[in-house]
Amino acid sequence: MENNKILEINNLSVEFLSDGSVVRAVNGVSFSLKKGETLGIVGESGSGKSVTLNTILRLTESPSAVMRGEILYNGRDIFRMRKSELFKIRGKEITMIFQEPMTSLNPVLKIGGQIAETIYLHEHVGKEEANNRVLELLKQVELPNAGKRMDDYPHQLSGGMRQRVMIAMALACKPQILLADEPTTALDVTIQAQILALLRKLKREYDMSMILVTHDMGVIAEIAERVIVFYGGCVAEDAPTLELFNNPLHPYTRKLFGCIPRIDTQPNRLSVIEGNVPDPARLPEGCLFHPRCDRAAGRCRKEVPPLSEISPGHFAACHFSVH
Amino acid sequence: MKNMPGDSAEDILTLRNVCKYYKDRKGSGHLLKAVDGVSFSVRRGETFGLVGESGCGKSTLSRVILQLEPVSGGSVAFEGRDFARIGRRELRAMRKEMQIVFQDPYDSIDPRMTLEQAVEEPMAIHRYDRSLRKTRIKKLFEDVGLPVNMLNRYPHQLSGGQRQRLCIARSLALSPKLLVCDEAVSALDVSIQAQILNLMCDLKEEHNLTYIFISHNLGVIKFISDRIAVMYFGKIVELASRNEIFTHYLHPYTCALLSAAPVLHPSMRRERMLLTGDVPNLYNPPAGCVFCDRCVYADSRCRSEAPVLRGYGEDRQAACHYAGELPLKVNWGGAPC
Amino acid sequence: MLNIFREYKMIAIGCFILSVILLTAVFAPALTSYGYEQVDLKNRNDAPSAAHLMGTDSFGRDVWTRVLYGARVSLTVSLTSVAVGLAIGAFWGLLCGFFKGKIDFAVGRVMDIFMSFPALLFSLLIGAALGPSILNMCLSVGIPLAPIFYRVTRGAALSVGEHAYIASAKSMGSGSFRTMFRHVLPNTAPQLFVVLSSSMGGAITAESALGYLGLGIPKPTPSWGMVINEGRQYIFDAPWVTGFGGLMVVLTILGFNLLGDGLRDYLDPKLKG
Repeated sequence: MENNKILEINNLSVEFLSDGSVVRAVNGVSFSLKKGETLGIVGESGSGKSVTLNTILRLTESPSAVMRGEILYNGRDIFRMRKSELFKIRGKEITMIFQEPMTSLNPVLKIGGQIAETIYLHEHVGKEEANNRVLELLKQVELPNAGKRMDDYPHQLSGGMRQRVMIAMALACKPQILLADEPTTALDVTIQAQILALLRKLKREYDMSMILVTHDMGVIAEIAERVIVFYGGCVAEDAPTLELFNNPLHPYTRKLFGCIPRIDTQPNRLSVIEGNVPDPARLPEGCLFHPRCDRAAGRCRKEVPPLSEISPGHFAACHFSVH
Repeated sequence: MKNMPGDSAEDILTLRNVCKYYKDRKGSGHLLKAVDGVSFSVRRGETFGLVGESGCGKSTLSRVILQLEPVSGGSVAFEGRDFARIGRRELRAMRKEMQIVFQDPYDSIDPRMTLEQAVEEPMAIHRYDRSLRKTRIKKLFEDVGLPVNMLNRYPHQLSGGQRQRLCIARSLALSPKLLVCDEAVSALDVSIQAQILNLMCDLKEEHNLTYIFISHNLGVIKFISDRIAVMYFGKIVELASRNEIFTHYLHPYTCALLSAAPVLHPSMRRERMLLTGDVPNLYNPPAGCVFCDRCVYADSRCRSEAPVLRGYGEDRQAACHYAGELPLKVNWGGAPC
Repeated sequence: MLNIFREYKMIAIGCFILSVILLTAVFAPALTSYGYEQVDLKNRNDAPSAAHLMGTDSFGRDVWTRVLYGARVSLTVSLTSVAVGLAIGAFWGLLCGFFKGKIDFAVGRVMDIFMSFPALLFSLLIGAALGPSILNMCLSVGIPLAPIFYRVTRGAALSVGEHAYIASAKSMGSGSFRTMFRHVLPNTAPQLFVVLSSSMGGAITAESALGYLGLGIPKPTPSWGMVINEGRQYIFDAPWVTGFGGLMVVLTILGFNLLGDGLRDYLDPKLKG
């Protein structure tokens, strides 16, 4: 095993039981995160990208969820950890930021206090030191007027400022891995650009690894070094970002690019992918993409294509992908 | 009343100095100026794009246009008839001519209605003949690409894209002339969004529609619009044809907005003009130009005197004291491929 | 109808319980050989036996007979009073939640005043003002229920009103009343059903409390509340009096709750098809 893999996910499946039916949210996903890497996960709704991200910290655990496979963090399986060990990792070594900066902060606590609480949780520090650290963090995330803003309540901040506070909170204990679940989706473009620039800067300063989940290829193009394309709870393609944009191999990825209205071209029509995103409660047999694929043949309807390395570092799960 | 003289005019909808103010809930007497002095005309058969960030007043404007809320000032005229001057009955009849498609297809259909009832409802309200309704429902389902055997299903059984198709069918039921699409594709997946955008292009031809298309997504706006208005903080800051606005932007905010758009290719990552700060506080707007707090070119004149929307050649308007004089440049980061 | 019962067990069981109780109330004279005010001082507080299925009370009256006849009064009073409360409360709640603004403020304050009285005191006031009769009983139990229905309906209507489908209906030209009754009201039903079945029990209890205070149904017509109260003094000597009276109340409330929950599911389109 290579040493530089900080996180390795092997054959992860997550199923939810609801009303007698099985929702297969994630179906045998494997990928790894290298130290210092920014990995982008892109997919449409129901593709299992957020569930995968949440499962890394076992946030999907519930009586109705069945999880299989392994998630190795520095070689140790997160699924086999005791709760006490897990709680030491959560919020300290692996932290997470969410899509909705409005609902992921506690509305009745001052933001300075909320960040300080994360520090108290994992480290024994005095009040003054904690306050100094909070101020330092807020300055690092470029919150205007950080000193004054510490005593504000979340509702007094704008969406962009709240996301900055969330990031400060996630960075409070200098994590190894930052998981970001659609961190800019709820924000305006001008604010999104600010937050992405901030994440890029902080990743360098903190020397951490990052997984960023999004539905937006533009965000991927901005920030990711490597991309994983999710479809129907499976990995469809896994490649370095530049390679993926220059040479998409999976028919889904290829067509997805054609669907995006761009500001540099002026087509009369967009190319489309017919049909709907697969319903995780009723997944088709064989290749999950075959009902929407032009090139689907008999084999695609029966056999699930394995994720195979088509060219060095470029993986795709399609029977017909060639370089 | 069917054939008003205004019918032949080129403009289907005219807004003059439209304002929409809300009172502060705490009762401090402050006014929240959601829309402040907006004027423009929409031409028959065009797609008029309205782009801006959240809180800029674009959704409020759509509600005012559809008479879902009354204006606080100014006037809205549809085919030459001013809303404020016509009676209730006529207003109701006018509702037929203008329809809206909302952003969230999961929220904009009554969950207790079958698909058939949902599409039939507008025709029932306007007392269409029963047999006509049935044939029309089938036709509409075909037009928007929904299978007719779904008539008796409920909305929750549909996917997001199918629901948005249903919303469109419903809004077309009364054969409107103007369709306002308020972020109509923003909540959809990319692959579904492309289907719906193409569908809307087709329907526009078939049904002789005029669109007002509201979105925060520059790519979507560019794809579908003929003319584009950029809104900031309750005002139109720039209005021009599609190609003009993406190449010869006159307002610094337009430039900033274009700069902030995510790159199209990883090789185009770049340093760019990042806006500092947030959208100003709605209760406490800056004196002078609304953009002055975030504008790098702002000077004392901008802070004291509000610029008005002025024409710069045909089909180009901007609200900036120094429009055309500023060295605005969007760094697109290398050649797009 | 049979299909509904098969698919929604709760409706089936609820209907079964309620129809048995209803039938016994209707055919009371045929199901007993005693009169409900037939006193038998020799057999006071007798335990249940073949002659007296549910025993006798402190006057030697047959409890079974009194429970049967009591169902007539209790069912009428609880159903009618809940209907009164629902009609008043839901109507104003819907109106206020839909239109908001001044009418909401005005009605809200009136309801606040109503709610600041203890419900029982309020019932007593109305009962005392109107005098004892079945109809007045229904009013005096029903009116204090109105604020609860008002609050629930208003809250639900406010949240339903935020949905885009309400704006969508308005933009189609749907008038206020049409929008209110066609779109808002049906979507507040789930919340209403919850209060509906629980207030049914409250109404039966309130009726018995009023009966206890002498403002109930004119004697000697029995009601369940009266049976329970009369048995209370002898609860250790003759627990069956209160016990069987109470059992009927419990069964009825259970029936209504099952029916209410079942109907809520039945009317929910998400659980169909």
